[in-house]
Amino acid sequence: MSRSLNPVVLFALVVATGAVACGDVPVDDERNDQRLFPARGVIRGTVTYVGPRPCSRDGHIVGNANVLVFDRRNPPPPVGIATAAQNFVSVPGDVLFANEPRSIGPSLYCPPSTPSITASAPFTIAPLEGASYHLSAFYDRRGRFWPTFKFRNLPEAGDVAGGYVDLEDAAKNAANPSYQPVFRPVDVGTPQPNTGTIPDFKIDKSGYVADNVPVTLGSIVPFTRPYFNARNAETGEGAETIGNALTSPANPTGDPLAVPILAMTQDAQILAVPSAPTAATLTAYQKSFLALKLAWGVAGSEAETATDPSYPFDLQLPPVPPSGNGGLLVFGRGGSIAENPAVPDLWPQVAFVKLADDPLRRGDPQSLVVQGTPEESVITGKPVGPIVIIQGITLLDDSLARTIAGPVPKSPSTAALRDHVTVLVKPAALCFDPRRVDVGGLLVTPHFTGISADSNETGQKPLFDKAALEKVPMVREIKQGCLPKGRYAITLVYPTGQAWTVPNEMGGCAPSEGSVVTKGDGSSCSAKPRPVLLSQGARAVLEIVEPREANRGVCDDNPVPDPCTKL
Amino acid sequence: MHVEVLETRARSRDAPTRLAKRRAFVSFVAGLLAVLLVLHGTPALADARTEARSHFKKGMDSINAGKYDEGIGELQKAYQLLPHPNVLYNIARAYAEAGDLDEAVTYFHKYLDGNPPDKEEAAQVLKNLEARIKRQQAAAREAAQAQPPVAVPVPSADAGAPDAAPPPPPPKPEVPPADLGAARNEDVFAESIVTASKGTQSPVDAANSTSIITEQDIRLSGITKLPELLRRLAGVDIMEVTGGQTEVSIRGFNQRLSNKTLVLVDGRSVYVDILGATIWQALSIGVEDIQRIEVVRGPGSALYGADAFNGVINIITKKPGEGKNGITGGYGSQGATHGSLWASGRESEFAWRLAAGYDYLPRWSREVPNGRADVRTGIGDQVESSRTVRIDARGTRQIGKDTTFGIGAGLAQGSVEVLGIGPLNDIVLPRFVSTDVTTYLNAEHFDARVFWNRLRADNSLNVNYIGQSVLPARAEENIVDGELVYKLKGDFAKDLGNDLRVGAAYRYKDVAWTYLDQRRIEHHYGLFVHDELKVGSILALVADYRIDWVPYLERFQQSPRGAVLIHPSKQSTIRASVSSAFRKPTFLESYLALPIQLPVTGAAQVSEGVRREEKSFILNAERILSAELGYLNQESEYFVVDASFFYNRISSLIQLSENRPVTVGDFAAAGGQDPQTGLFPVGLGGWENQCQAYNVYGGEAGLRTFPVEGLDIYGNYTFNTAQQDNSGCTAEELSRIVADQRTPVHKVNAGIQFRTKPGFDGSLDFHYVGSQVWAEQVTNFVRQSIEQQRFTVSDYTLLDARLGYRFFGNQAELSTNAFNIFDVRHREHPFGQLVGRRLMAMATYRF
Repeated sequence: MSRSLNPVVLFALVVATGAVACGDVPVDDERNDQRLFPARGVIRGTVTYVGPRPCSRDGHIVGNANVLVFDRRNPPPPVGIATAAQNFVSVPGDVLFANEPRSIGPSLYCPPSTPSITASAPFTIAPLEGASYHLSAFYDRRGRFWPTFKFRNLPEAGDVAGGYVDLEDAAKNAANPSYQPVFRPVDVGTPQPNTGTIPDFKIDKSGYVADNVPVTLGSIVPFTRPYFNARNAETGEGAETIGNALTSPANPTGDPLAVPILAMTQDAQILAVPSAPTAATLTAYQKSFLALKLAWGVAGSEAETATDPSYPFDLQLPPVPPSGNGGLLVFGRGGSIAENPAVPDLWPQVAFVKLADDPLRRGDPQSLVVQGTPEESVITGKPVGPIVIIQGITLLDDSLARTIAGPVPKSPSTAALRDHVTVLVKPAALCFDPRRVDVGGLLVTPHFTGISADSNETGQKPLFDKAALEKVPMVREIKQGCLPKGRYAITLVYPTGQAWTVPNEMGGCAPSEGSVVTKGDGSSCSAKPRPVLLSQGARAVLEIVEPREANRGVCDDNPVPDPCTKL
Repeated sequence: MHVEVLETRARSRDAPTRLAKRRAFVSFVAGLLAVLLVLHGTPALADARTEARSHFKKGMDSINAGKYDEGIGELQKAYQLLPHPNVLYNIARAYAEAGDLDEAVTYFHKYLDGNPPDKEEAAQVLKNLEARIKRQQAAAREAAQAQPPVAVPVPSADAGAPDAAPPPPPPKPEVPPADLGAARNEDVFAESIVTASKGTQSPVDAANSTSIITEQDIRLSGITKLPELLRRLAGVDIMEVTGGQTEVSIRGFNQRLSNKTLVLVDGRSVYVDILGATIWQALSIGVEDIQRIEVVRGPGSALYGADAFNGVINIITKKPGEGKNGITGGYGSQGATHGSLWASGRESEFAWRLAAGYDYLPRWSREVPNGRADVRTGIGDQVESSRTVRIDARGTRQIGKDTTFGIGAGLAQGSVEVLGIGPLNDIVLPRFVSTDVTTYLNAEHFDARVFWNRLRADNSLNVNYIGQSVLPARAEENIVDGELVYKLKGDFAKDLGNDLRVGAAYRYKDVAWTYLDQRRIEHHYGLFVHDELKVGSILALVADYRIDWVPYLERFQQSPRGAVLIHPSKQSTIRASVSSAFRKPTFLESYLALPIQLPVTGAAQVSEGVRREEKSFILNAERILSAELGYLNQESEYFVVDASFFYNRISSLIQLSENRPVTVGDFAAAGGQDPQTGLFPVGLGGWENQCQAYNVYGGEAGLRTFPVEGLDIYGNYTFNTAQQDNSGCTAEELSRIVADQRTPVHKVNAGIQFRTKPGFDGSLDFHYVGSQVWAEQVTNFVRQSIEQQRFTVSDYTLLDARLGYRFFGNQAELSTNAFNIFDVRHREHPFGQLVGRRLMAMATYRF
């Protein structure tokens, strides 16, 4: 049977086809695998290197131009307290120096450092939240940079540093060895009104690209990082010594590898500054502090391992003068400590940073995770807490009297190098909201007054100049209260931003490396054997412990303020 | 361009979804009733195969009873419905027996035009017939000359009165049947399959549960997306992940880059060894080129070796020289386009078929709108999901009576987006070229086949923040696969038949991919034996064994299978079988070496198969052990019943491994930063075998019925429940495991097909897929680890429909197709795109 086309059928089909073909593909903003690509920010620019010709090996240029991104509300020390960059990118030396001749041999070849060359390459960093950022950068000439390891994440001697900085200001201060560059802001997003000096930034639905950001690398880092091993100033005991099992609130199992080298009670109290300082009263005043001795490098028995290039550490640990230019640089910061105008403020800056609570040491056996960072909740399973920092007072040649008397080296020169530095632990903690570090922290201290270091003085005296302290940019408020309990890592910082922190990865074993095994010839990891330098290990902390039984009332009357325990 | 943002859907999703489901079901029932009412009063056509089979049977019965005209008429109807050379032969033979030698000669010529295997014998019969006609004509002439002249009667004036009765016609000279050869009595329209044993057999003789999708199913469904055709089958899991990516699995364990079901095209594996998946869009055939699709449920490694883990899908294309020429085109929602043209012919012993086509599929949904400054997309505007241009050419040459030589080639080129796993979570192949060259020789006792598959593709991430990238890459895979099978069929004794097949297989795999550690070449060998012992007509025993040398594992893998079949009647069977299979690790799983950029721009997690810190590590093959009890009844002309119950024990499934953070101890092995990208490895990933095993209990039950002419109704139900056995896991592993029930426990398919003599035909298909709970691995960027998380996929219904109108003597056809007609927005995978409605109008002309 033959049929012809019914026109009605044809018409209906044409109409239906036209109707259905006009739709568009909808945007799906409900996918539950979090691959929704919400609008974010991008920083794009060029990194320009001015410095010595790079080293090479195996046909590759050694090193990278590492551009680190910090939130301007929380820059890294010494200006801020950021313990890690928010983001970073490494432009490989092969890319930056694409046309530079290179050695194809297996040994590292470094050409003469003069004359300087200039090279540049583009970089991109994304995704970023809306914020105002600061970019610091350095070229790691030895190719040692490794972003996730504290012992390889910052510049060392010979590296070329810089950032997105005020070049004019840098030129003016070229002769100042203590000069700290002025970082220029990179704003990502649209600033929101009435949200602070450094405002909130919002990224609209199209995303945001901060383009043509120039990053300059041109300052050769003269000294290496402030490598140190910490020892109890009173007993001389360092973390490399494994003693008996001793329990503490942060170490309830008494793990000998986690017994702190220094413990301080929550209600620690110092003497008041003598009105008429003498050598004796200053000594008495100094002794009222708990103190640590931070010795250059690692423990003596570990030095060879720490510097052996065949091991992953490969630290720059030259001997102290006159044999070399190693040591810790101790020099003036150009002012006095806030608590006492008579005591000059010295580099290196010392900070004790509270670690995430992990009493059973399961999540973070190496004591690396800082409270207030995103990793904290991974360790604790709880919401992120505040950042808590206890500051130290750097002494010149172990003595407060000597520090006050001077002379204090004024710049980071060879004359400022010391084989150790003694630091006093201030019984005061600064508690920051990690989201708004720029507004300052709450300074909490258990005592506002105390007796004088001069026994001839009677009565209670103020322990510090409150008015002066309130003017410190990082202090938002001062409150009486006990110190937050827990373990605190120890950090030394130079004005260049170079820093060193213990505990670090060199001193313990990651969970997948197994446990620390100690034999006669040193320590190693059980699952993946490699040397462990215990002086950099989990004992190298300050632990804040509960007050003695007799003094519990202090903390009952002045408990740890909430901003120091939770957000 | 208008972009619809689905921002309010979350608030009101549940209620409309329930409503839509109810509407879908009610509509399906209403549609069914409406069609029944229409068909009740309308002359209609039955299912083509069933109807042809019925006419053939009646015709042969009539011919045997000497009712030639009636019988020939029935055979002609059968041939009109489904052409088959044996029908032509029987018509010719019947004409000859009936004495109509001219018609007999005509039909024998038609038969010989098809170049049949017995053409020499048929040509001799034809020659004899033509000689007989000549003799008859000569005899007639002589008789006419010998007869005396007769007076011519003069018509009377009264025309209404006959002068005399006309003389009776001379009796037709019948040809003795012995001169015509034997009639072709075998049931040529009976359903047959080749996949379950590598030989033609009835489904009732198969050792596994099988299903067939016929050419008519395909045409009446209006579906143009090949894997979507399989949705109607029980026990087959279909998952539309993106607009162009559909994943298929059998009896569960579907996944992105589904790798547990072996897909064949005319017996040629189209398994993509790089990913371990089937890229349906890279096939060189369209739905119009398919003669039928055979689906074998249950492990198939005993015959097909690695990767036939939970089933085999064999797409049988139309044979060269058969079928008509044609052209079809369709256009629909969001610009979805389908076009095909095909031609077929025969020149003496050589038969050929050419086909070409074009498909464009839009995404169901997109991740980002246009105009974003912060991202870069892999394919332009995020609307296109796949685009394929394909051409396919096949030819066969008959060599003697029993030997056929075949050769063919196909090419598909285009783009496709793929939601993969791990580092390839969301990638696009902006350009792929897939080619194959196939040749085979089928003889009485030997089958030999060699093919070369080649896939070249560029790939990059679908969406990426600027500066964030898994580097664009290029992949090339060359597979050469050869197989030689010796066949011996015979009887040991009366009522003791045996069918033996012994084969050897070799697969050469050459993969070069930027993401692998190096170019990798593997040589895979296999030996197999298949034997069927038939004891009378009641009992059959089937035994298979295959041993494969798997180069990555560096050891042999064994895959036995055994089955007992009891036939209560000729067309029914009760089947019990035990079988096993394995899936070898893919190239992706074995040799990947890919730094995957983390949200921290300069850091990467390196996903790798060869672990840098443990070179000796290798994955084990995934294993399945299956026991099945089945029942199939095809006895009736009005219905087919199929039911299966199975138990599967599945172990050693391969999953993304727990992230291994780079430690100080790994420095020497970790190898430093990637010199190309500058990325620092902060974690090492890859794959591992799951410690948990699965006990899966399930079954399928289906009924297909043809109650009245023109109506074909099917319905099936699938039950599948997996119990996770974590007894092999350590406490640490247990802490990372979450329960998985990714296979819907309940699944229902039902549908109707109808064809009417006025020219309207179509189909209505209803699908219900139960809710699922997926244990999917996701990356926790804070923890820098791979974590299993539970994701729920809600149950959903689909109602698909097609209405077509045939005209110009059934040569032309217009139709409209609707997928998900009620626009039940749903996901078929937790991370999949939001599937909605798709409509298409089509026009077809066959000549």
